[in-house]
Amino acid sequence: MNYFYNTILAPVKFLVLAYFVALGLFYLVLYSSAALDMRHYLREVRAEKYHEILSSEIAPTISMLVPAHNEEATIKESINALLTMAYPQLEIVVVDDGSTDATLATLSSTFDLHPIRPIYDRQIDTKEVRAIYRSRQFPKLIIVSKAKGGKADSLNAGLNIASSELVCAIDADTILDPDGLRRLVRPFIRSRDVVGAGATIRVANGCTVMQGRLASERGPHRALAGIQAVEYLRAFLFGRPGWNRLGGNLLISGAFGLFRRQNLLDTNGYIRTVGEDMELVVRLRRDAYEKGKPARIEFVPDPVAWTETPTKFRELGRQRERWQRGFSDTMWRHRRVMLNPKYGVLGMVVFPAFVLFEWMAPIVEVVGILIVVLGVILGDLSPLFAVLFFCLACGLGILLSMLALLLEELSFRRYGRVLDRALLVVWAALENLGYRQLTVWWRLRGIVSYIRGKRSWGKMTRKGFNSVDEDDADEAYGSVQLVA
Amino acid sequence: MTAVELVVLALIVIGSVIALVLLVIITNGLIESHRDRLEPSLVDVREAILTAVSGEESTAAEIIGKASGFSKRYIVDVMLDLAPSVEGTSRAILVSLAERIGVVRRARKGVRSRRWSTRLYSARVLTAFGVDSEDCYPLFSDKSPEVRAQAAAWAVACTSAKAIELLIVLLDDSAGQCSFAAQDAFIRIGLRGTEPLMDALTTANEDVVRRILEIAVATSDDRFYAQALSLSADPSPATRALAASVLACSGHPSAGGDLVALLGDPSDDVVLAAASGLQKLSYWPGAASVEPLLDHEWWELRKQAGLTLLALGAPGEILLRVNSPGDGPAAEMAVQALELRSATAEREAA
Repeated sequence: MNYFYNTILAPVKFLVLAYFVALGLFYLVLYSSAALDMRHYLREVRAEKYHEILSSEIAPTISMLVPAHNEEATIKESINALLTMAYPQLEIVVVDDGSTDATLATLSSTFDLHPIRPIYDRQIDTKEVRAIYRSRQFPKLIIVSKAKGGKADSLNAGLNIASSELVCAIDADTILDPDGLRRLVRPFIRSRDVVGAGATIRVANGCTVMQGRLASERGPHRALAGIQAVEYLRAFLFGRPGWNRLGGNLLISGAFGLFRRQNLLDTNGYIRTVGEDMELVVRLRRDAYEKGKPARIEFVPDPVAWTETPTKFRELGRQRERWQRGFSDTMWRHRRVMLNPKYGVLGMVVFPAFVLFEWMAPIVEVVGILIVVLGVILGDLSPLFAVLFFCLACGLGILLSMLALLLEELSFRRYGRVLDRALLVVWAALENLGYRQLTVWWRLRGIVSYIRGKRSWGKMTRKGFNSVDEDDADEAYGSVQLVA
Repeated sequence: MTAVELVVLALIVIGSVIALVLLVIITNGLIESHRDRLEPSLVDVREAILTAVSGEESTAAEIIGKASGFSKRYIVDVMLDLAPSVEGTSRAILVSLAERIGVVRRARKGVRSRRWSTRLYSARVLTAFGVDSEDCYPLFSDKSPEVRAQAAAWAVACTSAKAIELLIVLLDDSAGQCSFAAQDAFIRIGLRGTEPLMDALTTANEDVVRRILEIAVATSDDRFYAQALSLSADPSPATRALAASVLACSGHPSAGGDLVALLGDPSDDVVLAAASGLQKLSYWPGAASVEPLLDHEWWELRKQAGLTLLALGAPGEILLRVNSPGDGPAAEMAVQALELRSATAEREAA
């Protein structure tokens, strides 16, 4: 053990320390950028009348793509909410991806479907489309029934049938703010160079849902969901807006993202991979650089999609492992972008930062823990130093979460009650005592399983809002990557 | 300094920042909860304003009295929320109220502010209350694109020859939201904007010409017909395609024939727009000219040909049936178009 420590770990300890300092500086820059971006955005939207601008006849048309597989529990509420979205020119394309439960039957009985035979071009190859339906009650609602091919295949089928200028990919269990689309479309109006825009995802575990709408926006009162709520705030109020000014985002959550349809068709749509949302964004940006065209990915902090998060450690572990596999897969597929001047800021700043500070973070953290523990055991480090260093690492983690909560407090305050917001502070502190170490372990397992060749989705249980757990539910789609 | 001392120092720094952040969060939380407690009274003020604008017993003095406990920003927010929903006398009362409590005066001053966010907010206030002000004209050339876009929205509320002239300049703005806002403003202004836009068409650059043609499509004003016809011979295919759409929207008696002529255009985009225009006009004499497009190599154009023939009634349907036997692309599209017709018929019968 002594030999292992002295020859391998001890020389690395200064590198780990340097990484720790670099990470702190990187987050400082990211936070400053996020705060500036948020300040500008809040001033920009103050007293703005979205309905005036976006009820315009020349506003871009939007098709919402909703892939659904065994979403019987939540599909009715989700579609009801989508139908009342405040956007003038909206089409909703729900793709039932070979569900084995009553998803299609629920849709049919709820929305009075009738078969249609639209003329459409299968620009992207997908599994067999069995039937297409339109709702008699809501003509803008189209349902595509197809053989099971996965989430990416479903999105591609929807992409073929959609007819709008922009497409919005969402998860079937996501609940959107009614005016979310009007806010999210803003970057596309601002510039023709924008090819994608993402929005904030928040944890809905403590909220009450009625008729597919949030009746009350409450923070989670249970620790596991509460800590995830803090993680989401950190990722969406801190990480994503920060990247807006530092070279553009590398990820739009599959739970709520808006893209130019033609760009998706030109790059052959979604590909079947564990992290298809991140892969798509990297591919769109990479493709633009290769064709010499500008392509910006914007993040808008205001529109919100609400989603349930896992309430059991086992499920959460599987989810985080899957995210890390998806992340690894995307980085590996596009490894040629790394430090390649041909890809401008993407290759020289964004991609390396994601690899260094996100992908490598669990590896460095585990190495750091090993060094400290073995260093204390072998007498190279004093126990006092080890304890203080652990406190410092926790302190930095708490500080980052607190800064995200500060941004939330000074901007949107969506978790309305004071008690909810006070609890978020508690969760932010608790996160570093056990939970963070667990996520490091799950992410590490994700990297290992990716290296060992595991590429499948795994299972995720959907329980539907305000309902009980169903341990044996079949797998369902869900994708909110928490990076940066 | 030893390593332990360094870590202790870092801990003190991080701990202090955490304490500071926490303090700001708690202070803000307390202020917000105080505001929440005020909320029921704010409802009273909202109701008082609503009563006042509906011409009932509340007076401005009464409202100002009720509102005295609040920050003026609250009152302004309530009034701004209300402004788009009221017209006529109610609107006049609301504007008069806004003037009495000094909102309009501050906004007039605010549009000259050095801070872009103040100029933007003030312009939004003047737009919401429809207040005409000479101070708004410089906003059309403001350095902030958000402010320029807001100036376009203000021009809808306070349309004047000068505002229209500035809107035309804004159509050429490099910031997307400004040109979009200018186009939207012209659509809302409607027929009053047609003559200046027609004048601009003769001198504008290619991008502006396209934006004006998009406005013409939205307003469907037949005064654009002559210029659209002339632009249908423009060297740019994108301009010709938009001109074809304007011809269809103009509803001019000669438009059908003009669109048939454009079916022979070398650009597929123009042919697509012309075929789409014929569908819109249901111009059945054009059926024979549309039929060859069923066999076109571009799928979009084949689809449009099928849809157009379907919209042309009996002549189109006959041509679709003639093309439906066989297994070429024309037959495939004709069959799909006819299926569309039978699906609609089935649905209607059901």
